[in-house]
Amino acid sequence: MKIEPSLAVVQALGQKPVYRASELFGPAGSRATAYRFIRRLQELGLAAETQRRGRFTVRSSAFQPYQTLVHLLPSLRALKQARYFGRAYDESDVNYARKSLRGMVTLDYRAYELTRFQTPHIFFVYTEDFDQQAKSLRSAGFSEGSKGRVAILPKEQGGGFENEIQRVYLDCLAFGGRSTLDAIAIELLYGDQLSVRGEFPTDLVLKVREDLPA
Amino acid sequence: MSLESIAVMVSRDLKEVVFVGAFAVICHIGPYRRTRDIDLALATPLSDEEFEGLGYRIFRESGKKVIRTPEGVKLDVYTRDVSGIPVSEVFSTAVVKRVGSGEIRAMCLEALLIAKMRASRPQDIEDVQTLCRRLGKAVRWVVVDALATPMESAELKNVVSAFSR
Repeated sequence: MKIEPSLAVVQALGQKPVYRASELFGPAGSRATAYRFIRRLQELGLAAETQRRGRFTVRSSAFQPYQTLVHLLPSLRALKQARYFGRAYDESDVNYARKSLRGMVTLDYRAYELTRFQTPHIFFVYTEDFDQQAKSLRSAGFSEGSKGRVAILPKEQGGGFENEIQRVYLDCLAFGGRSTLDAIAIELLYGDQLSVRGEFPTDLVLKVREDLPA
Repeated sequence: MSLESIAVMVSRDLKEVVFVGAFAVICHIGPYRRTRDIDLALATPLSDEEFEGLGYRIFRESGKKVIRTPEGVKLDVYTRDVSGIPVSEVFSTAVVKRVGSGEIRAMCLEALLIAKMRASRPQDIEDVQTLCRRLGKAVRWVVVDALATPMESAELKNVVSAFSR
């Protein structure tokens, strides 16, 4: 990954819930460059447009240092392709998916199994037969949309699945938001199994350490 | 025991309580991700003896006072302000929510959004996005304007409008 000027610009704006495209005009140098940067962030899976044109969100992982971000690219690529499914939109959907889907569980549910730190919500699973699994969920009465509690992710060859804990950690880091806390909890408990680590503010690490179950 | 049942018990024990933080988010939007601790605001501070008299345990962990319920759930207690919102205003704007088999008082949506915007940690930003996505249309701007600075109000309007269909 070459050094991305788009990242430097968004990092300079600081973390917030929503950004206006116009906020980037000045730091990017021009309106056209600002929009090019936003498109680049979207391609990387770090930014997403909101319901309103010209407003977008940025994953908190965009604020990780450059040397860490390089390792987040496979996770970001997978998250960008995630497909969400729901039937009853409650825990029963997760129970069904657990029994019927084959693959590697990551993010919420795997982080909870590893740390018991934060209750899970969405069941994310990596699968090799991505389209086939989507088809089987649809035939079981699931609808595809954005609110489902079952999410399938494509498992790419060479995507760094050799060390499962490392992969879950990087997925949590890439997902950002509340999953950042999962990443910290994994690092506190399984730090010896991680070769790539993120950077976190000290107060956040202290909060997780304080709240981790004994 | 579920965190909801514990919250109801804490409400009964401590009387003048408003739940804030991630637990308040759940009171507003339903099941979501959360840690196993509860943040709350108390109208009148209680002494360690009063907490212990109610069966709560007080510890010192890493030089910080930690209160745990009889079930072991950690309580983070605010007695002065919550992210700059005075506890008196947290109480005057609190809303009653039904959780499990009982009722509790939770920080109102507007105060919660302001507190989370001010904290701005990754989890707070996600909570603001989720609250605005699901409940943006229910925000009472009169309450926001009374609790926040004009700049914060404008920023929150921008966030809510970004998630409005």
